[in-house]
Amino acid sequence: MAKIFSVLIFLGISSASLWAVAENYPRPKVEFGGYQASVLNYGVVIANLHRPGTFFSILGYDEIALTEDGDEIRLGGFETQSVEEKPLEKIKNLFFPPPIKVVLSSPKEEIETEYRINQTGPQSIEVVRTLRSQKEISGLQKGIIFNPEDEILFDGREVKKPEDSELLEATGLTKVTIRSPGLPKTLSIQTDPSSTITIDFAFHIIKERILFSSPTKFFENYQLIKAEEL
Amino acid sequence: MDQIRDLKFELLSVALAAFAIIALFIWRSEIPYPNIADWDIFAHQTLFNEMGKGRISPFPPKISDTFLVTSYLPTFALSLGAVEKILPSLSFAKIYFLFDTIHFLITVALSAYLGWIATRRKMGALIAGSLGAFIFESTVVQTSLFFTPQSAAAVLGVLGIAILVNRKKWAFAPLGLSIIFHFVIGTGAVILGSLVILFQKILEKPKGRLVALSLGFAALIFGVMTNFIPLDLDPLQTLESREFKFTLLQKLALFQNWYGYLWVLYPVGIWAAFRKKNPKLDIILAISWAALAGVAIFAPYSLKLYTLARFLVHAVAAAGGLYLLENLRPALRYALLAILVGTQIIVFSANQKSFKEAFSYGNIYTSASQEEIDAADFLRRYYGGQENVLLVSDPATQHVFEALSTVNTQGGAFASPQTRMAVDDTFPQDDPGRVQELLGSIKDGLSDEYPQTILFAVSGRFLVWQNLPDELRLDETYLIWGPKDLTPQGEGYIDLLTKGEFKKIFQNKGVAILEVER
Repeated sequence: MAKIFSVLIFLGISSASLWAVAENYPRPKVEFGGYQASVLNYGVVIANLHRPGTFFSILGYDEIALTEDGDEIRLGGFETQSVEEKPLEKIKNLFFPPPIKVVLSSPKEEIETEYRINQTGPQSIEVVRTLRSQKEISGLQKGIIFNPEDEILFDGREVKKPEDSELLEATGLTKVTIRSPGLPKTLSIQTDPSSTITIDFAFHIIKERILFSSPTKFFENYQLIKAEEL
Repeated sequence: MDQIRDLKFELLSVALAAFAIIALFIWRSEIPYPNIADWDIFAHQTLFNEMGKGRISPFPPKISDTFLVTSYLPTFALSLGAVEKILPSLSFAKIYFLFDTIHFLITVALSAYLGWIATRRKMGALIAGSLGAFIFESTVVQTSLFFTPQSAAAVLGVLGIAILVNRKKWAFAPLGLSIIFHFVIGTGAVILGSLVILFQKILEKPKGRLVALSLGFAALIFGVMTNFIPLDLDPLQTLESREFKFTLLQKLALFQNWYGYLWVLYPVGIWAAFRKKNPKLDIILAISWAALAGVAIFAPYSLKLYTLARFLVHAVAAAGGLYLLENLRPALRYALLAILVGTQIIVFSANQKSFKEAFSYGNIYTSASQEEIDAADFLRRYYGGQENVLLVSDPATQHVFEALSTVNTQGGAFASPQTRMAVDDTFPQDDPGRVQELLGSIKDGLSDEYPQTILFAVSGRFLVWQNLPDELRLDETYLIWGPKDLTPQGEGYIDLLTKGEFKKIFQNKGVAILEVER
């Protein structure tokens, strides 16, 4: 009896500890340049607009109250919903964290920015921009017109925040990809200056930065409309 | 317990080394050599730098305004500084990497030693050593992974206590050194050491065991009760002291982060102690209660006393683990031991990851980027040692740069509220002249004179700090711990400043240094 009791205590301690870790495991922190957002509850991005005209900025992991499942969070103009995790999913997600999709949309600019956050390491993030209607981004060399179906992918570790200068700094990005049903194939631009740009259009690449002259300040007043697992 | 065929010493040594290597690998895997995730160490480096300039005093606040209270003599900074002088080829980060690693190995060995004293078994030492390796108190305490005055004092103090429990001589040497390294932790160690001697005397009396354990338990109850009486035990009344005054529930929540539910081994160890009647285990249990009483007190920084208590708690927990394992078949015993260690590794992985998040920089974790180190090197070369120069930036940048560059700042990470407000007002600004005026209003806390030259460090950290909400920007306990790169917003600001009297003397992707005369 004592032996069984001993085994049960050991197994109980281990499983309860594993459970506690799953509950409290640090969620990956998403960085946008110097700005970060913490991902909680596997599907919730807490973001806060601290100053007008700036992109959503940091709320460190330790500064945010954990939300209850099903809570609606509204912080500084952004809104998101937590995703309910079933008990076993918490354990599963601890070892096999699913990617998270966060969508920022702008009613004004008709552009939607989606952040696919891969929870396999710090700052592993894929950014997809989709226009809601046909729109010309005049910063492009040949005035490429993007269609609503187009996707602009930034396959890099980090995306800097756009500033008043209307720059989307993309320092550190390795590849920018355009997916468009209207184009014969996916087009890629290497941002490495030593690479050859072989496609028939290009962004203005200025010292490893990609310049958008329009849309202007398209991150302002955005609403975080969705946060869900892919 | 006697039924267990104990481990061989060689196997114990290999296992402990393996635990230490696994823990260090997990900890260091995303902090590539020679980066460090230390933070306090910059302040000690600053202290040593200032002493090198001739500011000698036994009280750190008299040496640098980075220190607000005297918790220890500058012994720690002097010791590290001496090593820097002896090994000038090693960089700042390499030296602290070395010290942190050695300190970690010592804490694991000391945990195992105390576990062995408590259980008289090498398997007890193994369990205590594993707890020593994988339990990291990621808030305030931080005993194992960082070599700091408090952790050094704790190691010395517990070594003295262990010597006393073993009734050996020369315990006063490490206990005395412990006080020199940290007044509070050292005094705590001396009190616990005195209790060891007292309990040893009491245990020699009839019913002495009951009396000793009762005294220890009474101390614990007293410590817990301070949480329920309307007494303000905060003599400092600073924002930081209030921040570091944790309620009992907050402390328990932290313990859960550090231990998961591994702490259950401690109450099992209490039960084992009652059953085993091992005088050394009784004494360790009684003083662990006394140490936990200090931790439980509702006062600022009381949690720091866990640097001492953790070794005692782990020794008792090891007795608990051994008690559960002792009657099992060897195969089952080792299987459960493996599960226990595996659990500790998982808990440690999550816990240390949570701690490191604050130091996130690109794909690594570090407290200073190479860009910041390069900028600080530049400053040290051209401005180091000059008395009439003041570096100004956000508190975190000041903290890192003052240590690495030797250029003075006002308060480093502990900049005064006036300095914080002045720096806060420098951004956003349209008028470089106004920025110059604001920076000119700042002076070192230990000097009556204003500096002639101001070096304004516009760093990635500075910009992130400036974009924080007001309550965080003026919060003395909140810093931008991890390095950040400059953004276009920062570059625009730098361009604006250079249109005024500011002269850009250095810039890389992490920081720009602008010089301006007051």
